[in-house]
Amino acid sequence: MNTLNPASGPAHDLHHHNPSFIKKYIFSTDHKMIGVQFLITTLIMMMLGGALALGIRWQLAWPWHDMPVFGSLFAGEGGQISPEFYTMLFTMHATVMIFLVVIPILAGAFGNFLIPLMIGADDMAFPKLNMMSYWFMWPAIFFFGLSFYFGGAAAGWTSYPLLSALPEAAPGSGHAQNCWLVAVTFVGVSSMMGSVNYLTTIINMRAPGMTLFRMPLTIWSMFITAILQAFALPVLTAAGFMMLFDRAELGGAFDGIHSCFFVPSGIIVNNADPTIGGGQALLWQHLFWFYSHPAVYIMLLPAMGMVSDMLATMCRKPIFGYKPMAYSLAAIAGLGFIVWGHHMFTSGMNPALGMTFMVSTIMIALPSAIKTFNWIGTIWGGKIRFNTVTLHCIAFVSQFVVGGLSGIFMAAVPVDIYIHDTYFIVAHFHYVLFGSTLFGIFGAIQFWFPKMFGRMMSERLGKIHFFLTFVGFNGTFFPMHLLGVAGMPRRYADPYIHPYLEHLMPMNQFITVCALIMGLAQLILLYNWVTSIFWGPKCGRNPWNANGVEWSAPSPPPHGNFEVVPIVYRGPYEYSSPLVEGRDFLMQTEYLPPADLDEPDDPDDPDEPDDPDDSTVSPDNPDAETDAETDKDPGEASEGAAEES
Amino acid sequence: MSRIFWCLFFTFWPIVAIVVCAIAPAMDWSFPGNREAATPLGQRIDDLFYLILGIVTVAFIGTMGALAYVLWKGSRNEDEKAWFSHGSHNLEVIWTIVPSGVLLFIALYQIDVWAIYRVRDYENRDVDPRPAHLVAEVTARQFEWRIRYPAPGTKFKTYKQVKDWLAKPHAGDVYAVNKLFVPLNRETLIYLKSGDVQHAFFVPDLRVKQDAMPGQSIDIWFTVNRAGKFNLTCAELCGWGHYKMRGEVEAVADLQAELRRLKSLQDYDGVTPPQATSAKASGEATP
Amino acid sequence: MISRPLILTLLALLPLAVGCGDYQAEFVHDERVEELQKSSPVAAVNVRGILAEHFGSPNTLVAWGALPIDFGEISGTVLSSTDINTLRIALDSDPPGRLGRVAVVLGTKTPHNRLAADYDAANRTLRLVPQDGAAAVAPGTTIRLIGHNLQAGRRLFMQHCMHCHGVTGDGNGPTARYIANHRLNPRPRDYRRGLFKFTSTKNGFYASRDDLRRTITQGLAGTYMPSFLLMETEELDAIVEYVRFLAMRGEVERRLLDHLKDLMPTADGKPPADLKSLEKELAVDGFAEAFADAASLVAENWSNAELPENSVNPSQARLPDTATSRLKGRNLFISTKINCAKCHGEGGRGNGAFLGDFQKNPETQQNYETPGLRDAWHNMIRPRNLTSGVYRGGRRPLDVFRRVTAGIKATPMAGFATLPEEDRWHLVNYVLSIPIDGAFFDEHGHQYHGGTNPHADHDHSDGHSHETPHATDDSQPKDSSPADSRTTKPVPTKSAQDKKTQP
Repeated sequence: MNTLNPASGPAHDLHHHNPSFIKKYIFSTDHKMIGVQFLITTLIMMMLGGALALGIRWQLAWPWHDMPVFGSLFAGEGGQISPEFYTMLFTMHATVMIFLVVIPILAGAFGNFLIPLMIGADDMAFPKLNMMSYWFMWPAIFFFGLSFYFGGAAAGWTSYPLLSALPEAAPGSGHAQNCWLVAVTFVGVSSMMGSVNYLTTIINMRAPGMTLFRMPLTIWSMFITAILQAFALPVLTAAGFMMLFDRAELGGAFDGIHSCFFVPSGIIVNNADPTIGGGQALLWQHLFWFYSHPAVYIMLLPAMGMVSDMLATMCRKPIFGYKPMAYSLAAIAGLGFIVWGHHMFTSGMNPALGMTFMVSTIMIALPSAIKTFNWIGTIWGGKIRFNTVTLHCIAFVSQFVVGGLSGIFMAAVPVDIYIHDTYFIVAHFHYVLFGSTLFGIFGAIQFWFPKMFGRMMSERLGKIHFFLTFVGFNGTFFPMHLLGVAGMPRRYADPYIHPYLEHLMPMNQFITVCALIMGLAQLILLYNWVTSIFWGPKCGRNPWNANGVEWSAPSPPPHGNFEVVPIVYRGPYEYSSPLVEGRDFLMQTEYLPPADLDEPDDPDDPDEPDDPDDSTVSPDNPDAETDAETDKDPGEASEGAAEES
Repeated sequence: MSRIFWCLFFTFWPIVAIVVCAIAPAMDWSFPGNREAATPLGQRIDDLFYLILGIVTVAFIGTMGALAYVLWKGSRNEDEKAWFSHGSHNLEVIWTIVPSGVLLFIALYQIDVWAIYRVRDYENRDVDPRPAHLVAEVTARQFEWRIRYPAPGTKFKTYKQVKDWLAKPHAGDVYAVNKLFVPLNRETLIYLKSGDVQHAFFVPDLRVKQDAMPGQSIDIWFTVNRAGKFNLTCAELCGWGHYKMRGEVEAVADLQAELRRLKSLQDYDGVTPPQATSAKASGEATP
Repeated sequence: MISRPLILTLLALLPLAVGCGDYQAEFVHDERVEELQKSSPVAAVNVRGILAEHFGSPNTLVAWGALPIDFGEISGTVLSSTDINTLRIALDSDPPGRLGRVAVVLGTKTPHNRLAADYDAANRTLRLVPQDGAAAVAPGTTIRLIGHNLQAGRRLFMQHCMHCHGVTGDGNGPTARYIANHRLNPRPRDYRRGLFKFTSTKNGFYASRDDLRRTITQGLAGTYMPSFLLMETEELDAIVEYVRFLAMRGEVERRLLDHLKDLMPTADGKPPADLKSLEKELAVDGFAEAFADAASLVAENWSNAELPENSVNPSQARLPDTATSRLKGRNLFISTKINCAKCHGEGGRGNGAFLGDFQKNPETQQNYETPGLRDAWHNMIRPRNLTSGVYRGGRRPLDVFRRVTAGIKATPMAGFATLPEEDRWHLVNYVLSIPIDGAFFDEHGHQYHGGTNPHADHDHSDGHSHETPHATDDSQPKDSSPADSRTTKPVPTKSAQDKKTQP
């Protein structure tokens, strides 16, 4: 089958082969199945990451207290967490959340599932590579798990040398750190495989009529994210290998390489022999943050794109400023490559660099602000449906404002001197990663669930989950801004031995209680998601009356996605269009007779010049019109389609 | 009904956030101590912080207010369709130019502070009178602060002398752990080293923070203009004892007197009584 | 059948299955108790029981008067009693902080022992733990609350110290197991032998409270024992008492087990032949007597450590730190009379000849498997590199004097108390000068660090001498920092095969 020429005929369907259970559900090459596999895996990892965070919160609220219920797991330590266990907790919490939850859920789950559907393709450009990108997650999970067995990597997710480079420096810096580095390499390779796929698919496999500026913002964001991944990840992978070679006891042929990229000479740790040296610990920071700063945009941009789509759908309005939104995504990504030094202002790098990074970092607030105003503009004048999806999107916008504004403090270098490595930073990134991205993900889960499984998730449970999560989240992370200004450093197992922090225990206890509420609320989401797969009310193709190409496919789409190749006539946000009467949505793939159209880029008008970007338009294709007509979906019952007569 | 609830919900929470921030200083959820930095540079950092806080608050109220407004209007929209608008070029221009201006202002306004704090001094670090202000070499190690002062009465005239002193131990050096004395109202120069992994020298009251990099010797300077004891903590993950690195910086009027006292304790041979101790100093050697 | 409500119900019941455990910290017994259990369960039970009775567990400590520990005592009078377990009392001083389950002694002529449940300072009401056969308390009875200091010490110990030193003070806390990755590092102290390395007392005597305080406040430079300089004095004292408590408990247990060694299984794992008769002997007061003997010996040792006559103090002030004195110190250092250089090396780098010898294990009387020096806990240790300027026991002349005089307990560093005090001061002067001016001396009495002597062409024809050491001057070799002559090839460690248990 020739997947690179979608206009070649009817879409691929099941009659060609009957895959076995293994080929259909386990080693599937179908992007939808792979997307769901990613989703299941990451939701489980999210629970694990959250549990680790609750361990951290317990210690900060009631330090050294015998832990109820789980105290017996720490029997060797008198029922309490030991300090190195605590270092493992925050290291693995961050690692799991970043590498095994947020990045895979955005790119792996939603990217995989949505990209072909939204651009009208029948699958990804490289289905087998796609399958490998999922299965490469499992060695990563395995190695992270193995690191727990060796005590758990404990140098922070940032893994700065020499703590991470010298096995003697910390308990978790022995084999656990090696496992961690190997796992991160696997995750990186998985992501890079995915990004190659997404870029190729988006560039080459768009349906006829789907010009770049008719792509939904979700696709724009996935596209730009894939570029970020492709360019930034190799640096992290290289740095990971450099550190593996620096570390002494790899065994076998690798024993004693001692490359010392990051290890200066003469350092004595733990009364071991002095290091041979020649390296600089600062180098790791540069390499690591060169990837990890784009990584935070990898973790944000897809959510931004999806929220734009969801908001337009739920407010029944076009996106306010589509092109500025797309350009802002690109600007954030581009600027994202030149700001990595803002993680290193106090690190001992040349202070003059502080000024350059400060300016570029502050400017990154600009496209984010533009996007925020445009979201508000999208809601402005809308006819808002207050369902779970909308609530999550509004929460995204609202909390993104907090996260973005708190970032300005850190971009200001002198202020950053004070708040670097305090809880102010923790508050900031949780507001953008959890308050924005994760809420966006929750909304997206609810929004595209009908397309994935052909059923709807429970609205009531969704709203309860939203309410508890929102309240719990803000109760947990907003006070952390205050903790940071009060000077409470990060990664402290017991801040209260410092007199100036003693009075902060009640606030920390309040935060822990809120965190517990928030953590337990996620069980509601899990319950809702799992049970709706089996017992949710069934729905049709387009329960939300949305415009995207994916909603013209059956729910769930069969192998090959579309019965016929969709043809795209307009942008994705023609909600409340005056061109149609009696309903407030106009799908991308819906054909309207020429007399009603006065848009210059009508692909059916042979006198109009073709869009030079659009190489897949075939106005002479006699099938196009017929297919477009059958694409209309007048009578199918769908929830929420109140306008259907 | 539920629409009103959600509109109220999203209007209410920003108000709570602002109230919490407003009462924070009164509840002692703000800068440590009496909320004033004890160094002139720290005071400028605080001023910058409040400036940014003001700008950010205005932006927050504006954005949240706009969000609340559009939600209210949208929730009560009884029209058959929503407003079919793809955007407004003018608005885009306005809300690109205005934030750029504000952001550039913030960036450029504080370049000055950063230049004073690090860049200018970094470039002038070997010029007089810098070398004369050397107070101590602080070596951060897992999990304490090891301090070495030059012998009481030592005067450094050139940077080279300072470098020579830093290079190795000298007779008469005074050693201490976890407690650093600095002069009051005089510029203090500290060289920060690491004995093993990365640490960071963080004195919240002074608004001073600098990472200690293994293999590097990094200079920090500040002037303390308030007498007292200030907490010293580590601000870069250095292992399981990261939180244990509790130290103290004390600004004293007569540093040399303190150093002489420490030296006499250090030279105690079990027979000649050391110099009388000033105030009860816990941990000073008892024979 | 399978439906949402059913699943919801099952999930809701899940937390109940997990249960509500309440984990209590427990003291860990010496390994030999396990051995004893195999041959004589009766004896093992007795050992556990008697230790629990006299020392308690971390959450329910017992303040046993026979031990020289400041348990913390507050006296007062009973004002009235609401019922047999609730008393209103007037105390002579306020208890610091929370009063836990302290011992309550009522009356003086025939003291009646109870246990406190909690104390409400605002209402001055003391609630007691119910006890069978408890008598009513008359108003006016004197009351003594004993143990708050030890409990405070325990709380602080669990917060600051336990993760290295272990719940039982056996040096086997979770962090210790990881520090032991690398054989060169000193393990956290195992208190249970009553041995502490850096003391001010003579050979054969235990550590004094001041010694322990000093270790805690100054830390041990170059090890993972950090300095708790800024701890409050009361907290410091409480921790010191608790450490002594753990040390005493451990040592009493060890001595008791020594006494019972005849009941241990024989080399082939079988119970000893005369087990029954030994058990009978012990049953008749033999056991309690052995215990009491062990305890009184331990108590006496710890008390003696506090006596001023048992501490090492020089009688004369330190001799002036001149080049001549140092040279004399150097000559003593390399002399065969005291053999410093055999461990510390000719250049003081801790690489002396004795490192290649096999030391004998005092318990088995066999040589250790690998050459090198061991401490009393069988850990491999290295002699101090005197060029580094890191002095674990303190860098004061007094401290170094004490090392030279009394050695370092539990290590092969012997003391040389018989050496004349003058000579010892010469050694002190020499040792303290090594990091600064060098370990070697040339024929002119110039000190240098190593390699070529920069003074080699120096002549004294102008009549100058070197009574005072050089101040910093540019003629000093620049490469003389200790870093340069270290080994460049690190020794591969054995930690690659670590089989540590998981917390």
